[in-house]
Amino acid sequence: MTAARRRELEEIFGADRVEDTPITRRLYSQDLTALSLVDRRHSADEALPDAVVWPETVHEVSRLLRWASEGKVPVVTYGGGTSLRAATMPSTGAIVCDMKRMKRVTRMDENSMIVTAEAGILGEALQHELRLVGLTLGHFPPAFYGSTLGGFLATRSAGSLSTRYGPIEDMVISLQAVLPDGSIVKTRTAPRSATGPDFNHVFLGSQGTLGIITRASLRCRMAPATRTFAAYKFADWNDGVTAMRLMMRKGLLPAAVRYSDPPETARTFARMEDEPDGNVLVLVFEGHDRRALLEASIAAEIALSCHCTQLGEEAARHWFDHRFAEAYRRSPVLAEDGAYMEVIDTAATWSRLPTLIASLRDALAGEGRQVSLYVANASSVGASVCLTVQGHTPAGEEGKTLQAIWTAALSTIRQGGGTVSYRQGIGPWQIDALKEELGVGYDLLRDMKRQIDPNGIMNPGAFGFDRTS
Amino acid sequence: MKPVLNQHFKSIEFCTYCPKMCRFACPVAEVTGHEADTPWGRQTLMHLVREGHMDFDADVAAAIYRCATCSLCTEYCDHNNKPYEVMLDMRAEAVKEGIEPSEVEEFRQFYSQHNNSYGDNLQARIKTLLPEIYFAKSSQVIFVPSGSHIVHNPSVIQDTFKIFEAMEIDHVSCHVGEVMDTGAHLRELGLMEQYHANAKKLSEALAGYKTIVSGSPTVVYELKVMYPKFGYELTPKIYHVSEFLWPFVRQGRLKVRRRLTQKAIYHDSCRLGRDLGVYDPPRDILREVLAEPPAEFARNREKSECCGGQGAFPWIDQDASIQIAQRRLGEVYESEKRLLVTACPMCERQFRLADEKLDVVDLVSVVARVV
Amino acid sequence: MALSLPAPAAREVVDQLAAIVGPEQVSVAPIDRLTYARDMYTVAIIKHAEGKLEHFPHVIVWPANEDELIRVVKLAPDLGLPVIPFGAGSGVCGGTLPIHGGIMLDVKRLGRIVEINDDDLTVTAQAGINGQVLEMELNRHGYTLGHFPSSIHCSTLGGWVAARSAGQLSSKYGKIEDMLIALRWVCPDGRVYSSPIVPGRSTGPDFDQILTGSEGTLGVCTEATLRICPYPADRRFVAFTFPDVPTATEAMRMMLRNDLRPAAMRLYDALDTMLVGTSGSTEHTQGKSLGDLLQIEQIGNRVRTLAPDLFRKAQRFVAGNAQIANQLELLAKEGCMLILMFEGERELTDYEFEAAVMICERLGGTNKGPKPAIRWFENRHHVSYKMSKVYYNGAFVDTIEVATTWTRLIDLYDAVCAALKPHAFLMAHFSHAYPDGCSIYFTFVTSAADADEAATKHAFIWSLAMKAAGGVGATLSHHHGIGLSKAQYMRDEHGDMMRVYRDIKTVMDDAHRFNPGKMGL
Repeated sequence: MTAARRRELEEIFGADRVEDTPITRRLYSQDLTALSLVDRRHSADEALPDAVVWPETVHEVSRLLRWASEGKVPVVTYGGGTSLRAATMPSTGAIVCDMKRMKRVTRMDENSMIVTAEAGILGEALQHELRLVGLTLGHFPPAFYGSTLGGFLATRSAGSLSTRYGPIEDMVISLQAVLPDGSIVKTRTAPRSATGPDFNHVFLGSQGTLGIITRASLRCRMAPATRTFAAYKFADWNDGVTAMRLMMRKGLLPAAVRYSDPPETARTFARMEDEPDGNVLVLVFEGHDRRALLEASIAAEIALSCHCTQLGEEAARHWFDHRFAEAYRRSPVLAEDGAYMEVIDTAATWSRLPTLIASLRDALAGEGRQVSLYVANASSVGASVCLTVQGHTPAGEEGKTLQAIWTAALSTIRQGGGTVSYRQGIGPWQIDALKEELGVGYDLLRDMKRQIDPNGIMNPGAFGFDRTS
Repeated sequence: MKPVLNQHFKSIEFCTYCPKMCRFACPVAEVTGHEADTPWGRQTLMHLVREGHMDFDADVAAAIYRCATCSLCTEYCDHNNKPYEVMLDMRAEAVKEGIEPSEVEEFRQFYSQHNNSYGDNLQARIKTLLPEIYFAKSSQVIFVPSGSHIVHNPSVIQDTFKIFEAMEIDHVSCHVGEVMDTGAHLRELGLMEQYHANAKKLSEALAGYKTIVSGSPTVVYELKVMYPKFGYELTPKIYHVSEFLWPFVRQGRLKVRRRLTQKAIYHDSCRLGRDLGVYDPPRDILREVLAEPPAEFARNREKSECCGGQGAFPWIDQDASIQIAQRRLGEVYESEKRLLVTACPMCERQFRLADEKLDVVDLVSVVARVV
Repeated sequence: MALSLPAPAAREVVDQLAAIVGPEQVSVAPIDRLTYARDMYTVAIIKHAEGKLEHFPHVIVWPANEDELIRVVKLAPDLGLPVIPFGAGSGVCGGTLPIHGGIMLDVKRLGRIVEINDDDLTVTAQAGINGQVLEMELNRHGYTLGHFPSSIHCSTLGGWVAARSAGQLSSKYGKIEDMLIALRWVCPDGRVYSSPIVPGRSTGPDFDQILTGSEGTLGVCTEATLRICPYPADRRFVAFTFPDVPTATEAMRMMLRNDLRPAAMRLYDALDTMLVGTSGSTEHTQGKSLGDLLQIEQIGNRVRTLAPDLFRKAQRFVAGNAQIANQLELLAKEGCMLILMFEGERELTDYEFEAAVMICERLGGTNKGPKPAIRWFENRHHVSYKMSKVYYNGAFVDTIEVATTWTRLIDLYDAVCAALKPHAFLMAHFSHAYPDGCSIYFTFVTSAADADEAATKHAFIWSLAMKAAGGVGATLSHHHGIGLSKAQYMRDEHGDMMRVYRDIKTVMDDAHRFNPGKMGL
């Protein structure tokens, strides 16, 4: 970065909140995307950002973007850097805008159960603040500890308790964002509105392409008074899926519904004594004592009518206590040269789900490779499927293998009526499939992007949008 | 013209300001989707005419003929408005002013030519259908056959007398005379001059009897409700054939050989149901002759939907009237195969026109199958 | 003084449209141009009734299917005419008024149910289907959509989506945007947007939620997939009276906070409660209902019984004398009435019912038994019929539905009451409650000598209401939409976010061909 540019940034942020040291630039050029992690084993050739800045106010963000627009400087918004889909991979010459200093809870409306927080707050920190006043957001994605509110919003993330609490987009009441030209916009904090399009949704899921989300107000719930656990084992895989569907149909809202196949079960309960095996359905009900018990008993009736055996609550409790474990899973695997592990998620309606799962298993099966999966995030309409593919290749082949796995997975998902991404956002290798899934919707998003960001400064390349029109 | 509209002032105003709460119930509006085809649309036009904002011209006149007078809108009106009454009155005005649609004139000529709404010489035809003995005037009970039955489905009339015979009801004779049609369509199309001439003659011909029975709800409605309204009070008691038969059936006079195992579904005709309040007798009779009680349409009884054949509407817009019938049949198609039973020749005719392969049958003919 | 309509679309225009949809499905007839000239916007109703409407569509078309609809949309630029998507015209904000003339694009012939999917509990239907027809079809197959706007008899699915409609049971089932799984949509340039039918996705911004609520400015909905529910096995009803509004709203808040999701939850303020006789304690409510809330004769009778002197003063017309009418509140001894209905699976309903009763009683509510609630349920669409009576009596009525968080709710109520009561007879009920907030539905009745005076008075009252509501941070519409009547307040509601709306408009409809002049664009 030129000295002049640096000076301009320092004018906005002060000298201590602008960094362009090689270390910083290198660290901010990475996230947790499997493809880049395995590539990095063999090559250090990466696009580095020019500098990283840490705004503390929305006005600083505004000034940054105005400056970037004038100079046509790319800006990559950065939260926890935990993306598995290369959402924050900067292009050369970009400025990384790290939001983590904007982490205040600006308003806690206990009465209306609404929390307003800045986008850089970590999931765990936000939850901690809520816990102090007896509330919960109920948003627990696997990367909960390391990811930020802004990241949740920018990817439309969903947590493991989304059946009860909803995915993040359902929790958002209003937000504040800065447009690429620096103007600050916001939506109104009201339970529902009929005053035109829902502009929250311009930014939710936009992966930093349309501006920077600086603040959001979110619906919370009362912290649960009680929690009830249950687990069931199904001899036939599809019976378990049916049981989940029937529970949703009945209007039950368990906090968690998670149904794992034998390899996934083995992985999930590996550290448990007397660990269960087979197809295991875990249920967690929470809320008021009577309600939770009542729902659990109705759920038990449904499960048992679908040919299962009761496992007792220990397995469910174990899963709940270790529910962030899957975020830790990859490190030991990836530490080994030649090994790979990828998490692929999709979602489909109930009528398509069993076939989609079966064809994904077929498509991804391979020599020396393990495919495991679980079904979760159930609603009356359908559920998500999360697959983990793990294996070994000769060192240097990992990237190619992962590419092949993705190609097979995406075409199977497209054919089976699933979505290209349920909760992780979209990586560069998913763009063709994304275009197929959205059709004209993709063109509209691209056109909207060009209109709102005519200089193409916001996270260039994301979603396959061109740098300029 | 204004005086007529003034009589309906409240009804017109209430409709004009209403957000069209009955629109989904209007069969014409539902098949065309045109705002002018909603009861609101027609009444709003009347409002504008009444207020002098609009001329009562041929276009407006055409609009007010696009109502099948099925009266389902009233079922969904909190004010109990009857927009079709306004339409009927205004049709008479349209005819007076000579601005009625050409279809009305066509019908007038057709009626003049045949002296009925169905074509053919009904007087001659009925004689070929029944033995002479039924035309003796000595009886106290007179059966007035439906013109539609005579022309389109004469076996229903024969079945009726077959049942009378089987149930040992031997005091019914069949009406035959110069006037075979009540002229309902004349009234419905606003041709009041012809209607009055026709009604006068027919009411005189039927005056001497104690009881009048008909297989046509249109006939019953006309004689029982409309004739008195226009000054042709009839002293006989007037029944639909299902009402007439039911007491005999209940007494055990109907000897059922073997109940029909066929599954059936019963359609309420607008005239018989909403206009005459006859919902149970047809069902009661069907329960006696069927092994399994008839199925019901999701919208039944007071909420039953029109077949499109009501109010001479097929004369105005045959295509739309058939679409209305097809809409009603949707439910029949999606269930297992069922016999569609109705107690109205209009409905039967409409359904058959909508689908010639459809198994639709008059209530009377169902009964005749078991005696 | 007969109405003189401006010139309709030229013969060539009609011919070109007829080539697409057939001659029967294009019209420039005065009767059609008149019946498509207004929706249920108060000012338009009055103007229409007095023969004073100024704007009429050039031509009306009724495409039979999406393909025809697309061809009409693609032809529109050549014809140089605006396009106004039209469902059933029951909107109350002038959203479909053809203020620049144009082609009325009526979608009602796209009225088919495409699929009811039992496994997925979804229904896919075309946009022109009537709400009641859709619900009845679902009921027949054992489901409910759970969407019961009071206009359900006279509105379409497409209209619901276009204006972000809410039903009376929204506390349980949500608003239409909450039910939406996927959309099919014809863009102003004729492209077909179609979103995938999946339970959730992380594939960029959800354009469905941008199109929803766009009220014809971004194109026209042709099909939607919505989630449905099994028809409720059980219903439980109960009603409570509370001494005042704050106590009652507190009970509502506590129920929702504790995860209860009553299907219906409606609170009537003291005046509303008294006038409609919700308590069922007096004879005049026999066989009547909340639906009679705007029946002027009834107000008169009630006042006559309670205060003969006041009745004389109010005799000319209650609503015309706002201050006098609003003094009725002093007579309201019954407090305010909260109606609750629970529905769903029996065990869950029982639980929710008992828990709700406990909360209400703890907060000082008086249990009035199920009757008032049952009566509300049975007559729940009747309110839409009542407008006619008000207009018939020479007055006019409008409703203002604003919403905010629980924390600001009473401020909102007080602010709007203070602003409006000097000028109109005002009642309110609190419906559409959520864990985070609630909407308030104000009904004002007043009178004017003619359409011009009514328009001025109407605009004045609205400006006061919007200022009061905006002042406490409330949203200016919860479910009626914006259309024409509130277009001028869009800037207040959205501030600079209007730029984003304009950007989207530019991308989709740079020429402002679709529903021009609406939404403050």
